[in-house]
Amino acid sequence: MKKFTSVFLVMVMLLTTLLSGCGSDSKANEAPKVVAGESVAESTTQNTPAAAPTSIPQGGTVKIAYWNAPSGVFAPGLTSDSYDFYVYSLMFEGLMRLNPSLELEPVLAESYTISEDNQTLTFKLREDVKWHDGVDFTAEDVKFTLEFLGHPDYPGTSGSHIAWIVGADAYKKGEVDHISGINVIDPYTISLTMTEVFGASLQKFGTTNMLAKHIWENVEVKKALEATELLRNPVGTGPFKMKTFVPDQYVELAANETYWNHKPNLDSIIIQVTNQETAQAQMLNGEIDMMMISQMNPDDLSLYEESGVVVQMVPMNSNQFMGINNSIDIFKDKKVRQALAYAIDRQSMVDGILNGYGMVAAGPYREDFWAYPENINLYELDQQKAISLLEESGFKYDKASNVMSYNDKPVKWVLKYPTGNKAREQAAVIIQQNLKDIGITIDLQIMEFSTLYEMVKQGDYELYLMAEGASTGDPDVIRFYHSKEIPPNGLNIRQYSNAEVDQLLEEGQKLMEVEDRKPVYQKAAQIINEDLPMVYLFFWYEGRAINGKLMGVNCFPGNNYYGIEDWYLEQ
Amino acid sequence: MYKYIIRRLLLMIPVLIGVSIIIFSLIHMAPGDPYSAMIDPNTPTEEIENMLRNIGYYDSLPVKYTKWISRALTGDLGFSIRYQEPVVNIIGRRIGNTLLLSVLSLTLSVVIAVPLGVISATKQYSKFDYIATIFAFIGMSLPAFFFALLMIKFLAFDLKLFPISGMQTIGSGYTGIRLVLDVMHHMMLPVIVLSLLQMASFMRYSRSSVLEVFKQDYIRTARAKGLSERLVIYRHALRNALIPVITLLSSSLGFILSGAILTETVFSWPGMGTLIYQSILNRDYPLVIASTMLLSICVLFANLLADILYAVADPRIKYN
Repeated sequence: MKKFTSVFLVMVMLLTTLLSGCGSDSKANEAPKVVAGESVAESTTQNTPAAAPTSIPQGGTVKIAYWNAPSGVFAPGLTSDSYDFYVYSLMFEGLMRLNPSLELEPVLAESYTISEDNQTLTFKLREDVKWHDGVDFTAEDVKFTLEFLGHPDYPGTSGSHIAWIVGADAYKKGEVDHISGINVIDPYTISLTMTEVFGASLQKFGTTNMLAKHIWENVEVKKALEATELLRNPVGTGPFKMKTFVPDQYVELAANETYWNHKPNLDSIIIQVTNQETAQAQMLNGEIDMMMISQMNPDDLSLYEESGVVVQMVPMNSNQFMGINNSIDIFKDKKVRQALAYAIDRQSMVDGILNGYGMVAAGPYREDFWAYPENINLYELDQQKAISLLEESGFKYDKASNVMSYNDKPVKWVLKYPTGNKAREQAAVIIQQNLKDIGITIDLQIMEFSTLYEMVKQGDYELYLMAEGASTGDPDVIRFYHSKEIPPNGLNIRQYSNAEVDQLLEEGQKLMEVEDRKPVYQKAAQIINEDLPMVYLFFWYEGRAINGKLMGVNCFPGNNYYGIEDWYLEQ
Repeated sequence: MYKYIIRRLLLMIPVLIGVSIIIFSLIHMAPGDPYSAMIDPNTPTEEIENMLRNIGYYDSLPVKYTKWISRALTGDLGFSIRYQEPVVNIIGRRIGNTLLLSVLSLTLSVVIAVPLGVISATKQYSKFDYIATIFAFIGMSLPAFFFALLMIKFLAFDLKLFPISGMQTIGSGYTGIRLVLDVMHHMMLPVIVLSLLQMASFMRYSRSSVLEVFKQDYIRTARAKGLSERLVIYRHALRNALIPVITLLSSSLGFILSGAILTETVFSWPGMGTLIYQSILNRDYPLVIASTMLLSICVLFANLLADILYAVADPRIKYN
């Protein structure tokens, strides 16, 4: 009996722990989208000094709060955790980076050229860059990094773009010792040749963060993730370098005295773990200097303003959407999908849930991005239209009892959505209410993110809520819309299939110039807007609360630390 | 008695094996994989499959279990998927932090609450009893999370007596005695919250069990034969009244590692509670299994301790 009781107790305990996972809030699910978050941003830069001061105050420590502790894998290409990214991105750099208007600008490269046939990129590197341990940064490091990412045993997930380089395939199979398309011309010049024109090549290769050859060449690639000492004491080229890492609590970074641009004005940066619910109090108390805010509550915003805390708005490129299972017969009819969009009041979500800090979505791209098509249907709220579209598809609507039926049965669908994002949780309830207005019953099922993600990948859903977006400044959405990307092969979870879209998205990947890509992606976006494989709900803004005395901060999607060497604390 | 203890300890082995099978199956049958929540959604599916294959995600459940148990028996609890570090190191780093909080608050609450409960039982329906009862009900009905936020608002934010969160002043570089003082300063709020909440139930339990014992015939007999009230309470009533308190204490001991999860979360205290919660969300299988096994060992030992303490408190209970 006792034995049974113990087993039972443990099961109950485990169950409680599992259940409590559904209640409370973890932002971990959202974070990767912020990293991948993006697009053309007109960031508000309230913190830029009005007139350049004659002497910039030096010194001081800035404390930045995040909701989760970094795991301690501080190396580009090896980490898969966004909280690690927030730390290592201060210590590592690529050849280029995106500036606040999301254009590429040189960092470790001084300049670049693209060959006539658009297949070869040549980077000229800066000659004054040193790794944190004093060793010179050269083209050999670039070559080493790319070969590391393309290595057969490479244990990370950031290497897919390497496959475009000539000879990467043979190298990945272990047939050759080097990738033939990577050519070190002199210690500060390197060229990369692609197998065919790759539209995103400059962006993908330019923003790949560099690893130090002299550190990592001694580690077996397969065991790179087990090199705990190296991962926790990273050697990069960035403006800050590792000082102390206290697992589960904080990371302290010190200014890199020999940074190629100039020595940072600040002495150190501390990245610490804080509870989201208490962070506001700490921000107002001055215990932390910077943090992310996801809910733009007007009361909170005015409280920040009164206390001299500045809030920068960062428009996210990802949108929240309601995915529709296009493989279910009833949803194969695009009129049904369009009817759902007409029935859902997305404007009231932007006004009510986001307090206006967002915009209604009608496709994969934001209105201010160049790939956004000119003629787009916004599917503004129109219940009559929704009802008549459904009736055209064989549904019957009984006005008196407000019941929509199909084949003489009242329509009832299940909407699954994950815990974590409060705006999305509220949107689910609005959707339920809106569809009830046209006689459709929606059964809401909330579940933990990983569970839901697994379910929808297997096609086990009717409707679901999630967020999605393309990479920074690049309109490529082939993973989400191409018919060959239907799970288990890809992330076209809605199982959408349109031969014309497939062909346009393939074509777009092979074009270099924005002028050439624009008509292709606009056309694809227009077809997607018409077919509506899912109901796009809204794009949202995130806030960055910043100590009013901290100057020079300019947050935009995917980067909170742009130009951090120029930040300073006003006395 | 010793024979009994040894027999109970030996019995734990099959129980733990059973528990490990159940935990192992439950956590592996939960949908999702270790990478679905943390990886950039633009990562190619093949690469994720590759990584999953490397950690043995596609093995069948019995194969996974055999692999795990054969390594666990040699003391190798595996490598955390998220932290890229041996599970033992991670738990080792966290367990002390949790024990610091929970042992201190449990001791405090028992030491304060049990006497309070006895006093309010002996002075039933007095002013003291009413005040204590009101406080106990407040303590029992307040959710830990809300109570912690209230404490932060008044004691940390308004009065600025204590820091809001964390375990030490970050970046201060304190060592030695200053570090100890700093950690103590940071501990105050979580300990206050945890012990006030636990005190409530200890007080109610000891009060009602003393009242229960007061109604027994042997107490009437003791009073009838002219013993002083003091002797009646402390020699006859208290000892018998302790049994339910021991039950409560040992169940609290069983949850000593996982009981503070909400408090740890609110105060960003780097302990076991938040670790287990996060590792389940991340499907960090080796870490989840190792820490839940640890919790079940805790529960088993707490049960054993309770049985032993019963015998100590009540001579009528004998094991052989």
